[in-house]
Amino acid sequence: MDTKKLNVKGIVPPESKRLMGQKDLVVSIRDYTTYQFKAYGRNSRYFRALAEKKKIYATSCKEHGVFLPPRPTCPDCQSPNMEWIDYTNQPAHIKTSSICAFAGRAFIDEVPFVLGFIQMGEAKTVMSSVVKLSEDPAENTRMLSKLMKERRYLELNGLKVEPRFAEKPLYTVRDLWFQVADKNFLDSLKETLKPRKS
Amino acid sequence: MGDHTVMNGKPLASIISVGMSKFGKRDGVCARELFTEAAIEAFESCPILNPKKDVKALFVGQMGESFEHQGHTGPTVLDWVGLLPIPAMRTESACSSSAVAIRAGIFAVMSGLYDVVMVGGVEKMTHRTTPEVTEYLAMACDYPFEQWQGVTFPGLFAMVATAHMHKYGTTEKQMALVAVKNHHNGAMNPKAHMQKEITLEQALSSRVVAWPLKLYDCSLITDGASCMILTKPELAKKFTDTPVHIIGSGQASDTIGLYEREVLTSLAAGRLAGEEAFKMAGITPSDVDVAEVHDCFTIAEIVAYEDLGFCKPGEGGRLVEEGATNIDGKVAVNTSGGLKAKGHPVGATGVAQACEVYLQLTEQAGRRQVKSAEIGLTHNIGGLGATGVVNVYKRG
Repeated sequence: MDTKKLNVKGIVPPESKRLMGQKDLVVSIRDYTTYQFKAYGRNSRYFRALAEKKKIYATSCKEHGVFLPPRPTCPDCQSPNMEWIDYTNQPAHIKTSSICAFAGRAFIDEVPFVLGFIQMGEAKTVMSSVVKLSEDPAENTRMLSKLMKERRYLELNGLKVEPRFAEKPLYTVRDLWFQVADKNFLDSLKETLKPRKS
Repeated sequence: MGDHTVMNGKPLASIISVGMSKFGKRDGVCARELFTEAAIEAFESCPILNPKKDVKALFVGQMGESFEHQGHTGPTVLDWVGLLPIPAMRTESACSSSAVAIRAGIFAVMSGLYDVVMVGGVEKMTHRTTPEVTEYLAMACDYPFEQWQGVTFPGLFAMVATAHMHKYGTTEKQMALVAVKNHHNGAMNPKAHMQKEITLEQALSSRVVAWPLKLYDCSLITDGASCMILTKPELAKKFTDTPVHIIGSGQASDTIGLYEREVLTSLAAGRLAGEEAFKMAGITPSDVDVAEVHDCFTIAEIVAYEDLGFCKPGEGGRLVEEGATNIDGKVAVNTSGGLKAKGHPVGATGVAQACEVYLQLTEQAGRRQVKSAEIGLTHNIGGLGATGVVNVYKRG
């Protein structure tokens, strides 16, 4: 199939152009998976606090401890009497992490980025969240690329982090991310970055 | 279909408890919470059951993981219900997704591998716009030759209706009477999506969706969940004094596309499934006291009467006109309000039908109670009849 003869712009999503070169007829008429739309149910409280008050709420069961991300009923005893507690200023560090060099369609433009499991306070579960080394996307990319090039992946584990909240929240998990707060690590990494060609 | 075991009234599995969430437009609630609502009712209705100790596996039906972009339904709802780490799986067969979950539960119990299992279904679909839901549901139709023609479920069932009207003289009035009957029943069901009666005039004058199907001929887009606990028959009395035994079960398949069927006025999968279930149970259609059939559209209920043998082919319209399928009729059909008034959360419908039959056979159906109901039946169709599941139940 000659893709030049077909006016594929605007009809076929770019990634499907690869399919158009195949011998058997393949059609990709339009994107099927549209936007995502779902209800948070009883987790709504967490997302409201995140977006509107810039606070991180965890839930606590008297017998079984603190859960973050919150569970409106206790996963161990199904007790509905969970106390919602403010966990925003709890000490936080990276339990484990990965530098993602690939992502699904919605996030492919943001690679590389760090996905981390953050241990906050005494929570029994960890928060899955994006971790940034720098607020400047270009600098963040350069720092991550340096770590990747030198295979220094494990250095992120154990680093202290602090929560950061989106200026214009969308009531999703992305209203929250974590910024590495270990100054020594960040400064020494920045120093080793190659100077930009001016 | 082949050789089927003739059980002759000997149960395959027994229902000891049922639960249903409120069906309707459940804004702000997600699928796993809906399922928990149903599961909690099932647990609380059977105090002797210790769910964490006794329930050994979960089979849950859901068609639309894409509605919430949340797949892997099995462990997800299992966690919310508090039954980790038992095995869980999601079954799918379009609109009969939880009916095949019942089948899987029956297999599990009859195989001897598990003695108590939970089967259920859930669907959260009202948060999408109707055109989106319609497009998504069309996934149960043939992709290359049907879906991209502008096919919708009302459109395809409307063609079945036109064929039925042409061949047998079924009238729009007869189809509308199905809707009136089901709304009358649904008004007495506190769990139903629509709890208001409608008149024949309202049904006949509602706006056309796909001729001859009008608004009141079509079932509802609903959120809901349903669940049931099944046990080996010999264990049922240990948990409850009022079990309901599944004494026959049948399932059959047909072409995915309506255009490839041999006849357009009958859904062969439903008919064959019914024949298998009746033979296994050792009963005839006239033995059935209460039935929940697949009335995704009013014409589907009329076709179901004929496929199940409640009347001869072509007489379905007359059967409802005579009142033979009212609560006090020869065979009470869709006492819950059916998919028409109770609602059709596609994944939850199969087990919800069984829940209603359980309530009828254990005299817990309140104002919609059928007197002296001994034998019940559920009839669930997937897609345009590509799957048909029929189960027969007997009071224990």
